[in-house]
Amino acid sequence: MLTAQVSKLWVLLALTVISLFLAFSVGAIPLPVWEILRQQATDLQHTVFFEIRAPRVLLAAGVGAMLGLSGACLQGLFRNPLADPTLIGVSAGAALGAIAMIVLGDLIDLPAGWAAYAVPLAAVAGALLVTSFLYGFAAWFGQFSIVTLLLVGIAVNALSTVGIGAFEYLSDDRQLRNLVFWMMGSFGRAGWDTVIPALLVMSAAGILLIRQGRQLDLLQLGEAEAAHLGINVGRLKRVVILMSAVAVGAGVALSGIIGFVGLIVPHLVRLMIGPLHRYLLAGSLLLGAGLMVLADLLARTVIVPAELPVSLVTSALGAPFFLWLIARMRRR
Amino acid sequence: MSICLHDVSFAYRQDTLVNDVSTEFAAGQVSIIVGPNGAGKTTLLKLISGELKCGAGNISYHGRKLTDMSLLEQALARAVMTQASHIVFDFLVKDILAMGWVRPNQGMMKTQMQAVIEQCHIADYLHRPFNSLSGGEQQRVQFARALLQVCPMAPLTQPAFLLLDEPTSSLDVAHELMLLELVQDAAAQGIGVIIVMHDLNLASRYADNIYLLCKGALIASGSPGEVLEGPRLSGVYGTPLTVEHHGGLNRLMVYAQ
Amino acid sequence: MNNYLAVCVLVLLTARTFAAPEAGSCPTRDLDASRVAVAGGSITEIIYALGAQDKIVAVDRTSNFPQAATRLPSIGYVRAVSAEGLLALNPTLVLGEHDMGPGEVVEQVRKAGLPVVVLPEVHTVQGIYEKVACIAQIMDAQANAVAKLRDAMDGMVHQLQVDKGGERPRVGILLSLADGVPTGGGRDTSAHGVLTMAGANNVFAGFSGWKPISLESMAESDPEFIVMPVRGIEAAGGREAVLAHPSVRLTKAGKNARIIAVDGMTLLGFGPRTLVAARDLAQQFKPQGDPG
Repeated sequence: MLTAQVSKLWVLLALTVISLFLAFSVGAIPLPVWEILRQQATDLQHTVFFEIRAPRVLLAAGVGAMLGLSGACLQGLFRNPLADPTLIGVSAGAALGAIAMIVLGDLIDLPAGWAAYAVPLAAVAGALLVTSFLYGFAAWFGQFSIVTLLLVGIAVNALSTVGIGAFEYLSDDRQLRNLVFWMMGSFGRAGWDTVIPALLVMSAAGILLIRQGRQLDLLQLGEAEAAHLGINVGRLKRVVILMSAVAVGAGVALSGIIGFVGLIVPHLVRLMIGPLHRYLLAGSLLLGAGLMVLADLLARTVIVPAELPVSLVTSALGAPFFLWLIARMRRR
Repeated sequence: MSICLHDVSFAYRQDTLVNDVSTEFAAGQVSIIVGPNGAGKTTLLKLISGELKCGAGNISYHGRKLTDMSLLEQALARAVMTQASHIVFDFLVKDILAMGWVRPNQGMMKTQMQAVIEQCHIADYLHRPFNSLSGGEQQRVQFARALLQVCPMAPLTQPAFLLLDEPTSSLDVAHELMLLELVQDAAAQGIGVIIVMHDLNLASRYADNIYLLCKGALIASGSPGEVLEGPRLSGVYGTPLTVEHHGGLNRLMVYAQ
Repeated sequence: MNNYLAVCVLVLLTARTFAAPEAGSCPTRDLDASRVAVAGGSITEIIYALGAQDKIVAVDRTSNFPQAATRLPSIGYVRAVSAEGLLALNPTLVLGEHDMGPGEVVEQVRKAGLPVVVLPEVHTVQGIYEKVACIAQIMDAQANAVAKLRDAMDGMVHQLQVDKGGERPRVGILLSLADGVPTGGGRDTSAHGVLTMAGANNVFAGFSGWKPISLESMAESDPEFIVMPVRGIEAAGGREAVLAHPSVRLTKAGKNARIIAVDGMTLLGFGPRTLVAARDLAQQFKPQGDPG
């Protein structure tokens, strides 16, 4: 049976595929995708497509999908429409973890091959720390009001900034240059050696998160009510917190902090197909991927041959949306 | 066919909230738990639902210990309606209602849902956002959702229970009575209903059995006539109360003097 | 052969992630410099001085001298260049300073078959000469243009030697007063190099790199002169605001209003102009009223 929601999901899927196709074809160097697939392109086009464009677009899609999905999951878990991984400090926690590993990793002298995975792992650990802290804090107070969560998010972001500042002081010039990227957000550094493991991790986290859709729906009735309906609420919380942290952390480790996607994507999907998480999660994953791919397309084509940080594009789109959202909530 | 409590106690820190309660709640009947504030009524209901674990003693549904049942088995054995908590996102009424369907058999959902919708008279606002309803309408939807969770279905296995914590606290008189009529209908279908309630007169009118709690202990249980006695109530509530039989209504009425 | 392989594997492993490209020595192999993309202001400056600017197809945002260079296509900030943007210009060579990046992008560009040369950065007079020599060789510059530039540089270096002597003044270079906290140049920075050239003692030589400096350590290091880029002064609210800043007010430089404004890229870019900037600084460091 094709319900209205499912057919709208198909529309989203189609939009995402079109965005991907656009992103693969358009850029500083135009790449006719069909010619490349039929091996009729020049060597340069071939190399650019497979070594630069493809990993970059796929990373953007993966990060966007995970930000959209984890935004939707965290909003469901906190029962708070403003729970966005960046606003509440999860991304900053991940960045802090990554930066700590970059600076301290040199001191503890990791084997060369390990460094590639130590940084994403540290990012996940940082994200996990923040998410669990927030949830613990919220549980301590009963439930956060919408505004309280934002205030706590400001505090968590400030704390992460303090930590990042401390590591900036400890770092040498070469490390410092790397640190700057975590604060700006860019997909320009994507290469297969890091993108493939990240995409695998993201897929695993994504599958686990999407499967929590019905349980997150029931959670909206209240924690006790969800338990009465047969949901293992403790397990649900652990899965959502852990997997959101993994999804956000893996992305932040490769692309830095990219704001507002986790906030606006679930809202747009709710406007389109309603609040049921069964459909919302898949929809947010698709729209997140499509939107991020397009944002990155803008970032790398607006001022060719240079490029904008992608977080600039997402914030330019997201900040006005955020204001509109607040205005709408005030009117209620 | 009942819920049995054996020597159930529950303490939180130093305070004994439920003290050595042994009793039985029958299926197909309306059981109402009454008592003064702080008597442990809500705590007892949470113990029965499994939300809280007994400190001592045990609770069994139809002879099966609650602690041996999985979360899904518990969900099939009893539904709970608490004082409505706020729902953040804009779900439609039919979405909220459908959340009560915990059985794996999706095919049966439509017919059962239709039956519950008619029984609870919520067809008119099925496609409206839940948050746009009045308090009374929301309460009725929540009740319908709980009813859908435990509605008897062929092949009928064992009757299930409906646990309601002050379901009428935010309702005006008309809505209060409307909801309690629905409760009586549910009991008539074989569902055991356990309600925590303050209003002794409503309890007297709708209860098959009343359970009077005071300071965590079960003072009395039985039919309204057995439990509602003036001196006993005056002692428990700490204020002079009179119980009279109202001839016209043919039931007991409780008055403050 | 096995050793060579082992070295290659090691280099690959260490270069894999999060590493800025290591600046090597000047490459000796033949490079096609007919279309060059430049990431670094001093390189642009030198290429123009050598008269080889026709071969430049694009520059980065730090390439603001000479003025003509700013009209070339921009590949963005030297530390955040775009791989595809670079390749789209279809250059034959990318010439970058040591801080060109990010490292992954440099790797991507190299993988696409475009040679990237990252020039060594040494913050001494000798370092500038080597940079010029290296660029002249890569660009295959005309011998007379090279000789002319070298003569001009020799002249400035000579003046530097003359201007030095006497007591070495104590000087600090502040990049900015962003957020009210001054950022000062310690050891191993271009600031340290240019101060040494100008015959001054760097008051921040106690630490390495660019670091935020607390109020107290500013007072303790007590520079006689403070050198700041023009843009840093503007961002702080002008000369008066800098003089009134608590971290500046308590120093000798603050009390005597000895704030020297310079163009940032001229001072710290380490092209030929840095020699001029160092000479100008050396003259300004001389005791006031001294006729020599």
